[in-house]
Amino acid sequence: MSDAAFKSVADQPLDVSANAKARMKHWFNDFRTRSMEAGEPYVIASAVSPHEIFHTMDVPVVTNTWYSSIISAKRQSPYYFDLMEKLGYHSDLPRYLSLPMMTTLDNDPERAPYGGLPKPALILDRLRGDYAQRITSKWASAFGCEAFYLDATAQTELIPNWWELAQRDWETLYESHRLDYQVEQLKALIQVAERVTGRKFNYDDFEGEMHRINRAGENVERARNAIASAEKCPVSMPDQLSNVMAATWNRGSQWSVDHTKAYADEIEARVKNREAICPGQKTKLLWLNTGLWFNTAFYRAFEESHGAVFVWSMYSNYLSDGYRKYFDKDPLRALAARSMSMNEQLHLPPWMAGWILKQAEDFGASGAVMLTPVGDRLSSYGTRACIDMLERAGLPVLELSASMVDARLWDNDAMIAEVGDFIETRVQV
Amino acid sequence: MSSDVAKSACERIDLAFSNPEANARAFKDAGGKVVAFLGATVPVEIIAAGGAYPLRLKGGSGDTALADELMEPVRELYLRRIFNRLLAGALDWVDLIVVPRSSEGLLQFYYLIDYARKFRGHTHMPKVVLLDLLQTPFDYTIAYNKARLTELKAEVEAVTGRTISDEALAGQIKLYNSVRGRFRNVIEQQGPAGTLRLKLASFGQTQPAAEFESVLTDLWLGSSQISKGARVALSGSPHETADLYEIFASSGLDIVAEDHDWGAGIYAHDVAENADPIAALEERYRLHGISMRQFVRAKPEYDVSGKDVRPEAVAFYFEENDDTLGWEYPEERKRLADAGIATALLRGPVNSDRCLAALKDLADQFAARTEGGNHE
Ligand code: SF4
Ligand code: SF4
Repeated sequence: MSDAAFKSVADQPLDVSANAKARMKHWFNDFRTRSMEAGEPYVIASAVSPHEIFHTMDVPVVTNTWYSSIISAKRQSPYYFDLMEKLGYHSDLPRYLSLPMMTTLDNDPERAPYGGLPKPALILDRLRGDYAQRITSKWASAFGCEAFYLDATAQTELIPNWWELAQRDWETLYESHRLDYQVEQLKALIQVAERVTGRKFNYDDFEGEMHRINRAGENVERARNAIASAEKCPVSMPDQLSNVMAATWNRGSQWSVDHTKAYADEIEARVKNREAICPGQKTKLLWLNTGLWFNTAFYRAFEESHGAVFVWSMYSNYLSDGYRKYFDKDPLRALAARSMSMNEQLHLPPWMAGWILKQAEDFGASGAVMLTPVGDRLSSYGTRACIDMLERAGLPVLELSASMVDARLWDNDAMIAEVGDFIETRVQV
Repeated sequence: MSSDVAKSACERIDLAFSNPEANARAFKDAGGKVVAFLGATVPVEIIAAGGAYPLRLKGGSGDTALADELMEPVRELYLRRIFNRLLAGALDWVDLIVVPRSSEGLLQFYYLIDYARKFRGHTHMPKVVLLDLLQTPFDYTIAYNKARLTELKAEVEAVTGRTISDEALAGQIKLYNSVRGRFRNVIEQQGPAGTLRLKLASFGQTQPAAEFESVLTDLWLGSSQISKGARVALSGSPHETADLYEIFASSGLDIVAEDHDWGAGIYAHDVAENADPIAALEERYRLHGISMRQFVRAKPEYDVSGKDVRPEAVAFYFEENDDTLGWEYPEERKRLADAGIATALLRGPVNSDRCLAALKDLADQFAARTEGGNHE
């Protein structure tokens, strides 16, 4: 069925999505020519580390998660899992972040995607869980390069409604003693980065980066508000993901500001023109926790059958709520605030649940599906308390457990049935 | 040493192992304050200097039904059990609980207690504070930690109502150093069997330093308590119970050294006595506090006195959801093989089929060798 008042754009990606894809391709070509072919210094950094420092120095940054997803996409993960086993890494160790290291230990350019990553100038990791250091130190010694560790201080008190303080009142939110420490770490990182890359870190350029990230965040907020207030969802989850993630990886660039502006403009225009990806929409759902990167079609699998649309995931507006850090005079302290809180606010109950409830209310969602990766203890911490808090507040939650690295273990029919059943029995239409 | 005294030492060790909180409760009932803590990175010297009873918490053997409502099943069993006891009110008598940030599991445990208190109405639980002691070897980490330890001192002072002077702190540092030294002597000179050594190490974590010292002084082992069997070092996940040690013993293997945070290694390193007390404690617990986040972990074949115990094998035990320690295993295995030391890999839980099967393989290797008569 179709609602006459709404025009269907079910099969039309946003125009800007093509630009996002082109930009990611451009990034890769740049990395390939400069670092893989010409041997320019580059850095491997975890997704939750301050890439801003290297962006400012025009040093290419590769995230281990990106290369991990390439390995999975090229269907090479089973080979590297076998290798892990052969080398003696027990089968319960988290595998997603270690796949890239396996290509280095394997040292077979014929097999590794793009011939394997060349030796980086530095590997940067943030010691959030307990195992990052153990993987990074091994990987760095396999490359024969330096490693830099950002230790992760712990928040003493989880002040409610973090998103209301995170952008302007971050000094209160994140606790001054932690900010002091993080600034010290960033200064040390800048010194090391200058030494290993032979480039200078320019504070004026850096300040410009930081302002541009705030502006991109404002655009993403505008897009998010347009989606939230729309009667019927104007943009698909895969479209949201590719546009916001491209801007996140390229944060600080003028491109990211322009792109997020075009993204917000296009969504606002769709709302104004009463365009919807599912005119027969009856239910709005939230997607919680990890993204389902290898199967983004799943997000849309319940539109025809149930009129149920996934309208939000944390990637929809984390760039605006989590990344934006306004500052008067100290951009480095603002970066400290951003880089030490990255995933904590997405995973610590009640921070996680509080933010989700706010989104559920603003978007008018009536249910949520949470994806918990199996075989990775770190990413399941806090999920039970989060579900507890959401359900107590009246938001039904379905938890799905799945492997994030091995697409072969995803039983699509079973997952579709599970979500379908959840919508039919627990979500109020 | 008279056998009466010796007997009572052993009884006290067993008693404390099976009922680790009895003494602390008696202390509390007599009007004292009890400051409980988790892990091996909380400086007990600070707690003792305040006149409070330092009690390291164990999970015990209870069920986890209450905890399971809020805690994922992949979390460490001992934490699920302690959380269950907290929710059930079994620890309400404690004055303060200190949770160090020395593993992700402990940190998340701290946040979960906060959640249960604020959002599930568990306001009966004792006050819980986080000790955000980092273990990276950077100068800015040292400064950060010293400030955190000073805060901990203030928390203890608030509990006992007593100011902790530098002299008091220095006094406790001296006392604990001397007890650690005595512990090392007992291990070195008497060579207790693995199970007894674990219980003795545990004693010092739940009983006051003076008690520990008295037991160490009185202890004189009979032949049945002395290490015998094939000598195996144990590496990997912590063991607060003696279950694994007992299975080893019944398989003809003795655990002669270990690197986990309930083992003898807790007493391997002293605190500098000629330095600022907070700075000295910071260095000791950052570098040598045994934890998942310890930057450099000790080699498993070295004993509490820093001597190579020359084990015949090193057994690596990793609990079922281990995501950290297993990363070291392949290199360790190679290093030990190069040194001519056999290794075995045991996977949790203790007593599971896969754990027992791996242990049997290891025991069989030694049995075959003994039968073959080529024991050097
Ligand atoms: S899925 Fe959406 S677009 Fe397709 S028929 Fe149903 S309402 Fe119309
Ligand atoms: S030898 Fe050990 S077990 Fe026997 S009485 Fe003495 S202390 Fe107790």
